[in-house]
Amino acid sequence: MKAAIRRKTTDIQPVEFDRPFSLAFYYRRRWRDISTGTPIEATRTPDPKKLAAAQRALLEGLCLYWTTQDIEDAPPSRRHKQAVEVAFAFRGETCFRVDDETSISRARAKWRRDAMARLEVAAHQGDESAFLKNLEVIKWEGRSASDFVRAIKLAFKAGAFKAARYIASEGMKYQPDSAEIQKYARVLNPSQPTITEPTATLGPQANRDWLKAHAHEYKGKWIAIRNGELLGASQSLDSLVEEVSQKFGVAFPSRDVMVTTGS
Amino acid sequence: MSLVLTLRFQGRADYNRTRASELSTRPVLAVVIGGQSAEAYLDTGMPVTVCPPDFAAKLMGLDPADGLEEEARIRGVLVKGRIHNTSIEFIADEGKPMAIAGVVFVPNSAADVGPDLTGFSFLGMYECLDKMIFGVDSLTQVFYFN
Repeated sequence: MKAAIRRKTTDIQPVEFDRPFSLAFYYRRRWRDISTGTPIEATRTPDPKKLAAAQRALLEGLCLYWTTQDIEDAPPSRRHKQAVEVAFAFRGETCFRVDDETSISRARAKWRRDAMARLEVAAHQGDESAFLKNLEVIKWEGRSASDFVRAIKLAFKAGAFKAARYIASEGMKYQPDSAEIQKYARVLNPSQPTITEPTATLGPQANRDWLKAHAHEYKGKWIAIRNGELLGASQSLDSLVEEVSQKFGVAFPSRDVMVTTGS
Repeated sequence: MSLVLTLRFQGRADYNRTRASELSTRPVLAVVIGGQSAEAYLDTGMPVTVCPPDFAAKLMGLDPADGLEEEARIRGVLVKGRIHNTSIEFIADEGKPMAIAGVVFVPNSAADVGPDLTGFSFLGMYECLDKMIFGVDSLTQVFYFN
């Protein structure tokens, strides 16, 4: 049991939830998304995964919410008019609203500590914007190399490739000796400068003309063309590469032989 | 009041001229990926450039040891694959071609990304389109880049 939960103050109000999902519905109706801080009111249809995640997070102990309206006893005139920062604590099945500053500051600290958990929720939901929003509040100093790697992997799961690079660069600041972080930083941030010098590619126009006229004849096949001339076609890329290499002495990869598919 | 913008591009390339119909709305560009001449869809909705796995294995000469084995979200779906550094070059019909040091994602299975990942790669944003200035003239089907 958390210390904050043991603390009894006069302004603790018990809030009973008698059905497993009633808590989640309560959450959906009035509170902000635990992982993003965005108002839940915007969600018309409850997402079962999101609700389950919220419920799980609530049951972990003391949680912090910013409500967009006061809870339960607030007169209708006050609702939707103010954002109230409150904490909730659990004792068994009973949820308590906690308003004292100590509990709220503890809850706030827990909220920050749990940032990785919120990243995980956002990544698994494929919610890139929630992921990025939570990423912004994370303090990387003092985090372990495995935390950085975990966060990078979560960024990929969220589809946030740029964020993955950012985490890797933060990792290089605080855990520069980690070989794993070094690899992430290297792969995600190609070091070569942008090259703008002309490169010779044989017959792009001739290839296009050929494809325009003949691509439909090779639907579903791999084809190799060079300067507007068909070098080979095959169902299998392996056999095409073998055939073209043997017949024409082409070494792959080749910038002069275009390999594509018919359509 | 009218706003006059002047943009300078180093090269331009026709797109969608490679196939029989010019009615297609999908821009297909001639590119060189990992040193291999190929075709690719321009897809600003893709978070990263995606290459067909057989194309990458056979033609791009990528060393699996240099890549990152990851599960990434592509088109809203979690896909297992590898992330690599490689060069991506834009071929110019007029002006100068351009090559960039890019990042590509190679799925373990093309079907995980979609039925259209067959032969053509998808030029996505991360470390590819987000490293350049580009413009698309859809009326004349021309891609401008810098």
